Amino acid sequence: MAVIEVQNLKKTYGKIEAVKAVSFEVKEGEIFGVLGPNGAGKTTILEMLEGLRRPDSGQINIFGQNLAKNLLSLRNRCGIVLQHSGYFEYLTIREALGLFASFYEHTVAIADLAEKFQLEPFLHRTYRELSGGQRQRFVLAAALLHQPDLLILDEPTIGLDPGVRQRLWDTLMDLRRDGLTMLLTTHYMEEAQILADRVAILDDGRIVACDRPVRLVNSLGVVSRLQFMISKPVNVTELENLPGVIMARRDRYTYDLETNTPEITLRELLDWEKHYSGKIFNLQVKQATLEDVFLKLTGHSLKERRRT
Amino acid sequence: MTALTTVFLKIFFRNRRAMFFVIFLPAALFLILALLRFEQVFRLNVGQNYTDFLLPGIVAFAVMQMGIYTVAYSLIDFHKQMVLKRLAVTPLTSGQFLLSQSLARFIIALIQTSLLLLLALTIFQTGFSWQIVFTPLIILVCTIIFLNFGSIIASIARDYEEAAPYTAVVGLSMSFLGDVFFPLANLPQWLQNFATALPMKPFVGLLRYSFFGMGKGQLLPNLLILLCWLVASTLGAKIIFAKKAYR
Repeated sequence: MAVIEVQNLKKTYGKIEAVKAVSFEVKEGEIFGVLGPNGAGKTTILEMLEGLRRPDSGQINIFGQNLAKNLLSLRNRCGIVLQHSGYFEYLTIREALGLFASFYEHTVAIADLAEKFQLEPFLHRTYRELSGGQRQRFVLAAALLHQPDLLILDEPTIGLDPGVRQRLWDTLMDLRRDGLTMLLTTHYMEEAQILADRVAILDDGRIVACDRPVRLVNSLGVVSRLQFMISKPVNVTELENLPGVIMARRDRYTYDLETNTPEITLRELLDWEKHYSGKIFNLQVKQATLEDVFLKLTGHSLKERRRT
Repeated sequence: MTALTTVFLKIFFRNRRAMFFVIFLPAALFLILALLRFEQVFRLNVGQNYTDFLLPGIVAFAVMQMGIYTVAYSLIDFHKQMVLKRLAVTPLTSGQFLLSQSLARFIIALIQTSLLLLLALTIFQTGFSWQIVFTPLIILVCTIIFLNFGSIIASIARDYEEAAPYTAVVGLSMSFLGDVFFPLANLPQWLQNFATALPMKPFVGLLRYSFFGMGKGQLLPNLLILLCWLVASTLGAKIIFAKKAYR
C-alpha cells in the first residue's frame, strides 16, 4: 500500500520552475530518500507534502486522503522534522515537549519519550543549551510524541558531526524496524545509500531516476574508480589509454579513472608512474556509488548546483 | 490552546526586559506625569484633575504599546527563529495561535491595569465609579485589536528594521491622537474627527466612562467604532498572518 502518492507536482516561484512535474510513491514501512544537490527542489517538495506550500498543480495523497482537503487530520498522523526549526526561548525541553503534546489527541508519556531518546538529563535545559546531537534527539522526540504513522525528515543530519550523524542513522533504522514509514531528503550520498530502501534522484526540479540504491549503482555497469593526485599535471587522454580504463576525468587536482578491472588498471597505473616525471599520491580505489549515478545522469556532481 | 496560552505567559514572565517595558514602564510614566500636574497647561473639564485625565489614557497607552510593539517584535522573533514554521506543521491553526496570544496578552494587560489603578488609588486617592466592572471587557476587546495590528505588522515586515517605521507610525498616531496625554479639544476639527475614527480615542473614552462614569453620550459611537475595528483587524490579522508568517 502506498502511504504517499505524489502525481505531477509543479511549483514555480516567479520565472523559476522549482519543481517540474514530479511523481513518486512511498510504500508502507520503507525509508524513501530524495537525493539531490542544494537547490534541486527537495525542500520545496517536502514543504508541499507538509502543507506549508500550495502546489501550482498536481496531487498529493497521504494514506489515501487528499492532503489539501484533509490537512489537519493528516497532521495528526505525520511527524515532521524540518531542516531548520526553532523552539520557544525560556522554555525547558520538558515544557516544550508538553506543549507539543497538547496539540495532538493521543501522545506517549514524556517520561517514556525522554528515556527512549536519552533526553532525561536535559529535560530542565532550554533548546539553546543543548549540543547538536542532543538537539537532534529532542527534535526527533518532538516529531514522534504523537506516534505518527509517517515521519518526514528534511535533511535531518545537515551540520552534524559524523559520530552524531551515525547515531541518528541507527535511531532511524530502529524506527524502521518498528514499522514506521519515512520520507527523507538529503544531499549526502552515503546517507541515502545506507538508509533508504528506495531513492529518487532529484536534479533541477525533476526526478531523473528512482529505484533501490543497489540497482541504481548496478545500472551504471561500472564497479570501481581509481582516484589520485599527481605532483605534475598530466593530460587525461594519456591516462585513458591505460588498459582497463573506461573513462578518465580530471576535477581540479584530482584524477578519476573508471574501470571494471581495478586490479589490472592499478598495476598499469603504477607501472606508468615509474616512467613519468611526477609522483602519484592520495591513491584510492572506490566502489561506484550513488554519486557516480548522479554524475552520469546529470553531468554534474552532488556538491555543485546546476548552472542555469 | 490553554497550554499555549500558559507558555506565552511563562515566556513573558521569564523575560525581565519585557516585564520592565510592559508592566513597570507605564507605571513609572504615570507616576512622573501625574506628579507634574499639568492642570494649568491643558484645558480640562471643570473639576477634573490631570491624574484623572491621564489614568485612562495611560492604561490604554500601555495596552496599545504591548499589542503593537511587544507582539510585533516577539512575532518577528518567532518567525526568524523558525518557531512559527515548527508550529505550523502541527494541528495548531494560525487562528488558535492568535487566540492563545490574545488570551495571554489579555491576562498581562489586566495585571498592568490593576497596577496602574492601585497606584492611582493609593498615591492619588482616585475615586472610581461602579462602571469600573466593565473595564476587563473593554481591555479584552482592545487587547485583541492592538494585537491584531502587531500581528499584521509582524507578518508584513521581515525584521526589526522593516517593522520599526510601521510600529512608529501606528504607535505615534495612537499616542498623540488618542486623548492620552492631553485633551484633543485644542486640535483642528478635521483632526479631531480623524482621531475619533482611530481605535485609541474610543478606547480611552470607554475607559473614562468605566473609571469615572464620564462621557455617557459617546458610549454607543465608541462601542460601534471599536467593534468595527475588532472585526476588521481580526479578519486582516487572520488572513495576513496565516498567509505570510504562519508557515
